[in-house]
Amino acid sequence: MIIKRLLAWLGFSEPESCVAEADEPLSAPLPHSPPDYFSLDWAQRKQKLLTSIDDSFLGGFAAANSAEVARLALADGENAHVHVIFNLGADALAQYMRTDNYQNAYERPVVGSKVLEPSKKRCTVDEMLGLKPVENFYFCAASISGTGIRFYGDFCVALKSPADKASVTQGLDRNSYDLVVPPLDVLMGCKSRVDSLKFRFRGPEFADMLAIKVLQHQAMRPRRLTIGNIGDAVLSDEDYVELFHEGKIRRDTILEVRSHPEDEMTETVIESRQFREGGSTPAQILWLQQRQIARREMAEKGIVHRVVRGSGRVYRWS
Amino acid sequence: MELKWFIDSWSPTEGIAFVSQREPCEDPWALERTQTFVLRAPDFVITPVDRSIAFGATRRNFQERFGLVESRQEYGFASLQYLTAFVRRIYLGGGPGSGGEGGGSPFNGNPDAGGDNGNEAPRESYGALLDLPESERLNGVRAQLDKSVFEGAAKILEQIQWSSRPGRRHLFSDRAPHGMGWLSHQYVRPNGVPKKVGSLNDAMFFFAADRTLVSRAPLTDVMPLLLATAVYFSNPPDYYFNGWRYHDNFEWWEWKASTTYAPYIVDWLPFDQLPPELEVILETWNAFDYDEQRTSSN
Repeated sequence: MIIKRLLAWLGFSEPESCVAEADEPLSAPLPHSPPDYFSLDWAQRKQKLLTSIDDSFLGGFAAANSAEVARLALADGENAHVHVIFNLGADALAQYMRTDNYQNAYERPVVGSKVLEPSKKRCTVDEMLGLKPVENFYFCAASISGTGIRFYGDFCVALKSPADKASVTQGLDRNSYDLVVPPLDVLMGCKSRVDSLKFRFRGPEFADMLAIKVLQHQAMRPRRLTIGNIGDAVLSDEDYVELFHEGKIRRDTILEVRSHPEDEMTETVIESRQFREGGSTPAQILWLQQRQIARREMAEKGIVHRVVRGSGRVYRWS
Repeated sequence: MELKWFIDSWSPTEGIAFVSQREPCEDPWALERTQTFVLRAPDFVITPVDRSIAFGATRRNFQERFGLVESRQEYGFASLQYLTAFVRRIYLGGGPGSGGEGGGSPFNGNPDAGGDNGNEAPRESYGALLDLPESERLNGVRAQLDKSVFEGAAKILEQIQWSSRPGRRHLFSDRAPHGMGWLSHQYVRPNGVPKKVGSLNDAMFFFAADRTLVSRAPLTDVMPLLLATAVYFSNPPDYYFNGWRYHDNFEWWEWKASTTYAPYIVDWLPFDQLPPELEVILETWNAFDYDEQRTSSN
């Protein structure tokens, strides 16, 4: 402190802190000058990022990797790498297989009160995204080969390409919750800014957006990125790219259903423990049975079920 | 004042719930800095997650929040233990769905016997058994097994020609699924148990989920079914399928019931009562058939 005072007395002062205060109020006023980011389209944003990356080869690797991401993003049909995916639990999957009626939150029965209003933030997000009527939309994510967002269920359903383009025309570069929390919440005052974060699926915008996401994840690496590296960046832990599927997701549009070896292993552990010692809990037995029923329903309907690990590229077995 | 626990979003039949400890509010997603956790079947271990994941669940097939019927407010659980028990029992009440049995043996005999006819004046009820204090539960279940099962079985056994080995085999292996023929006939479908419970498999989840719906059912009717369920699920299958039928010794069965099956029943029956308003929700949910729990009537 003494040194600081001495420096101040001598006329030297510390620069203002650039770090935002942790307790900044959520309702901060809208900045007068919007950040450049929203006025740029996805191609311009990518270009800006590429020029700012200065690896040992003058950004050459970033450019090459960006081109590779674009190639993967735009490939469709038999060559498709990026797929529309969504996760669901074993019971919902079995029900889906039986009835060909995958239900979103609006269509499922409610436990307890049916009169709880949808939360304001959720309505705000619906409005921002401009999905009308929102009941007709089924939220998905983009993924390369992995098992998706397993918090939403053990099974990851991947849809066929190029048919997916017919129902999935647009997406958001992030979880739409980000629109209503800092730092974006105060910037989302006008619809054009929200729209600028959206993209047309499998169009050039999608490729540019994905290239940015991957380069930000794998920044500055003077290496050619492999498909696995790119896949890890497209869907990384809880960070994903949101896709909006309009209309019912029919069973015949499913390419394959993926599950993770971890869940297969848990199933085996419960089963073998029950076999050796007995006494598994009812919830463990039910969980096991729901998975077995789901597998049986998939087999009956001729849906391919693959067990895949990590990026889903090295080991894939049925 | 200690904060309560709330369900932010959940999927009842999948046993997945995103929860947080916070103030009750109109808009849970405005509390962006609230730590969120996920609970998942089968073991419902709590794991921290980002709040955006809980929000994203509501855009998929998860119910947003939970409130009591006809309440316009979300329900605050006094503790995480209550919340977990509630999510687990709702999950069990959803059972294996309508896609066929995941296991277990279908009930034999007349499928219309009993079931849904809870008008009979209750004798000692199943509900009373569940009200036993913790220290008395095991002995309570043992005593009820003796009274409801073995006394009845003894009467049947008296009529059997003990000198006839084929007769004994017949008694234990052929008369009913999995050698349970010596149990009294009520185990097929006791009064008070809805018709959706069609197998030992369904019975286990049904009884593990709910403590009020079948409280009308006479205990002497329920105990044989609980025993049959415990026998089915608590035996290692290799021993069960290979060695079962040779244990046709009545005393051995009584011993086995007392030492193995009674503790197993005590383990999974919902002895610990949730607040009455939650028990009502569980009862209502458990009374729905599997399709009603999965397909909206709206």
